[in-house]
Amino acid sequence: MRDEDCILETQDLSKSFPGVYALSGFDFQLGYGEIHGLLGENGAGKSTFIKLLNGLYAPDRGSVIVQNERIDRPDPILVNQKGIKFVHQDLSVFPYLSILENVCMNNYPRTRLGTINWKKGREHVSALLRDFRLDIDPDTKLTELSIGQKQLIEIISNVSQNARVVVLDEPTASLGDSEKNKLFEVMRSLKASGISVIFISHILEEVLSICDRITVIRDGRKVGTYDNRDLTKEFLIEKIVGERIDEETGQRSTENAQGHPEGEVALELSEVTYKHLFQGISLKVRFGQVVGILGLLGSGKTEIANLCFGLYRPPHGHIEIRGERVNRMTPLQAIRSGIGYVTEDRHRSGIFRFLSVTRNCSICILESLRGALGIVNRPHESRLVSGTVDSLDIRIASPAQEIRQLSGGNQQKVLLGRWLLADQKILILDEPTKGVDVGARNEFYRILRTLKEEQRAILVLTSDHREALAISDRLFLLKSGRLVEYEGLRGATPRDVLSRLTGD
Amino acid sequence: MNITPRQRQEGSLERPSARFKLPESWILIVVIIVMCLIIGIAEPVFFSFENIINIIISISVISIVGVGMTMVILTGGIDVSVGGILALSATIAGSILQNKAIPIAVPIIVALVVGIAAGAFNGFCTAVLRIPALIVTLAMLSITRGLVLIYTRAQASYGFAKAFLVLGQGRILGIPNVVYLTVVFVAVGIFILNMTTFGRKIYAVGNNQTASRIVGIRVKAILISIYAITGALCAIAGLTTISRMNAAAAILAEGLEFQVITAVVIGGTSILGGRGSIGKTIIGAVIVGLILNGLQLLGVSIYYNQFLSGVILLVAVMLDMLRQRKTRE
Repeated sequence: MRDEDCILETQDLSKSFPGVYALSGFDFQLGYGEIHGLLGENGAGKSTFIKLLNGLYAPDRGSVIVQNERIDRPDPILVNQKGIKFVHQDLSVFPYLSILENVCMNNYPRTRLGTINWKKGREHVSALLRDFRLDIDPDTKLTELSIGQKQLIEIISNVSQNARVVVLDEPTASLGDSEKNKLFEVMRSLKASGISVIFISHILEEVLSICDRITVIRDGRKVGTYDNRDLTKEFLIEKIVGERIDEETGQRSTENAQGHPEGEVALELSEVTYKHLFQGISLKVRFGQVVGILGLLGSGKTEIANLCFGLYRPPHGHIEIRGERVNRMTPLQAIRSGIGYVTEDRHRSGIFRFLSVTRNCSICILESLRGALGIVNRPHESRLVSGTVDSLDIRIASPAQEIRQLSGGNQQKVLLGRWLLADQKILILDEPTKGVDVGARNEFYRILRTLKEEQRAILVLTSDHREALAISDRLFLLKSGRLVEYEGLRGATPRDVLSRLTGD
Repeated sequence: MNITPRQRQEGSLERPSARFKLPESWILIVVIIVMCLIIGIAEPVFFSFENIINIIISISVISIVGVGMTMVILTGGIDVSVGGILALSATIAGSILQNKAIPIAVPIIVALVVGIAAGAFNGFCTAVLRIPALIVTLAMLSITRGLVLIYTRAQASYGFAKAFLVLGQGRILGIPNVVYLTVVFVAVGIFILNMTTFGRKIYAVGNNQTASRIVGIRVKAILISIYAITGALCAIAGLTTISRMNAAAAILAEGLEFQVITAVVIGGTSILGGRGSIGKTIIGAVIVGLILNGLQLLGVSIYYNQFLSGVILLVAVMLDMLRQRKTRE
């Protein structure tokens, strides 16, 4: 692509962190009105690239060029002024303000007196909502919207502010199918009006379906940029991972049903109700089994998980652990009963940001590491942690590294590892591979299979129907507040599962 | 767990050599040296033995309370009532000490009880009732200072038993007992934060309270404990002060909270919680002590104290924010 055809370009962009190059010599060109996909494993450098683009990090080497104008020190305000907008995985919206206030945030229409022209603003926002076929009142506070809706609002509010390039970072992670289609519609109309889109996703089908060109990044380097003509998934996977991996091996072999005898019931919910979210839910999870709960955003999955862990107390129904009824469950009690919980949002409720990988990993077994006077036995701790790091293949520069420097997938592994160190036999995993790429996801599935063989009981909550199919021995669909078992899991295809979930 | 680790891609990345890392506080140590030189040149009496002892004594109160304040700030909280708790526990002890017939263990224990009670109350309101720490401790400051006035009716107590005076005025090997006491408390504080499970939990709570709950840490208990510890340390600092002055007046430790918080912030413990250490607070305390001593030696009127305290705190917080920006990457 010749220079004049690029709206955005990077040359030799490089950034290193202690001991590791996160991005090295990255050359990238984005054309006008182009939808460009960015694919790569977790830890490959995608997030670093984004943060270099928007000025959050300063590059060690190389530069960012916008419309042939070289920017040596990008900073968020400058980059924003140049029309490069970012929509992140962690939304940056104003939750306590209304849609109207969010969308108009940086440019309120003014009256002649200089005050805000609410009427005009409301017309503008209503028109925008209508264009994108979002049937929501502009005065709705964002806290009342689902995550998927919030994301769409963020995208359209960026769009309405003179965007030239929109960078979408894993936008579909929280969207249901109809919302995803809306998103693609939006992307196509952006393209039609000459706005370029950088689309970062690890869901190959999506990237293949919507992108004009695709760049693959691996280990901080660009593997290549490919025109989306006759590209296949296998081709891309090979480029991403660097070796041949059959994606099918990540999926459940449907012939291999539960051959082994059913284990004891580890966790049981009976007729549990929670507010308006769900009623009369019953569920059994046995040792040596993976039970999946598949539900869309907002369906109440996380509340089920929180309930099992004692973070909520259901007004009706009860919970039994290993056959014993537990009346007032608390997290401490859940832990003592052998339950481990990896939450949906690792930033909000998972990682201790400024603490080391070691301290994050050992936090659940502090009492067992405790010696005289309460002193922590550090040699023992580091032995145990490095054992876990090895067995889960967590990529770190050193165990003393701050966990916030790790990629998302590796952080998730640390969170799983902390419960495994405590040898919890019952595991609840809420969206364990959210924002994690193909290679690391398959690793996770392998890990889950091993944990199952160790006769642990695993409850996985997910909104990804493929994932649900790949890992579950028994699958439940959470729809309209009811939990329905998916009969005939053996031999089901992803399409079957998806249609059962979204149908009737 | 038996999982064969994936083939790691060795050698595909160049690793830049790890640079030798200077301790983060080196710049503060340079500041301390420079300050000593500046004050010393302006007023050579700065270097006299007696003046150095003075500096160390003023640092000692800030340091002892600073141990507790560091823990509180590490969890994302704050305690602006420390001056008041110190004054209350010390004046109550002082009035008991007036009666030389009562064994000195009694006022000491009473002071500790008052300090712990006030601190625990702070902790309870913050952790259980979920009132923001700033509001709770601000109220406590008023309450304790008010109680001091009610209790003493602005009359100072003085003339304590000789045995008690050993604490604040005695020396061993030429060094005041206060110094030994400070070293002990600071060492114990550092030990707890760095080496024990309790210390780990404090850092965890400061980094992510929700995650702490999920991994089974009793967050409320930790929070109440550290505020109570701070209260106890205030009482101890108060006892050493009245022992040294052989008197207990209502204006004891006026503005102490400013000095302690400034010391913590200058030292480098983040006001947002999650990172920092007592060692850093001590360095901050030294700087604050030098500033106070310097102002005194240079003859700056004490009317400027309040004004300057505020300015210094503001500058310290601004430097902290700049520091945060640098380490955000």
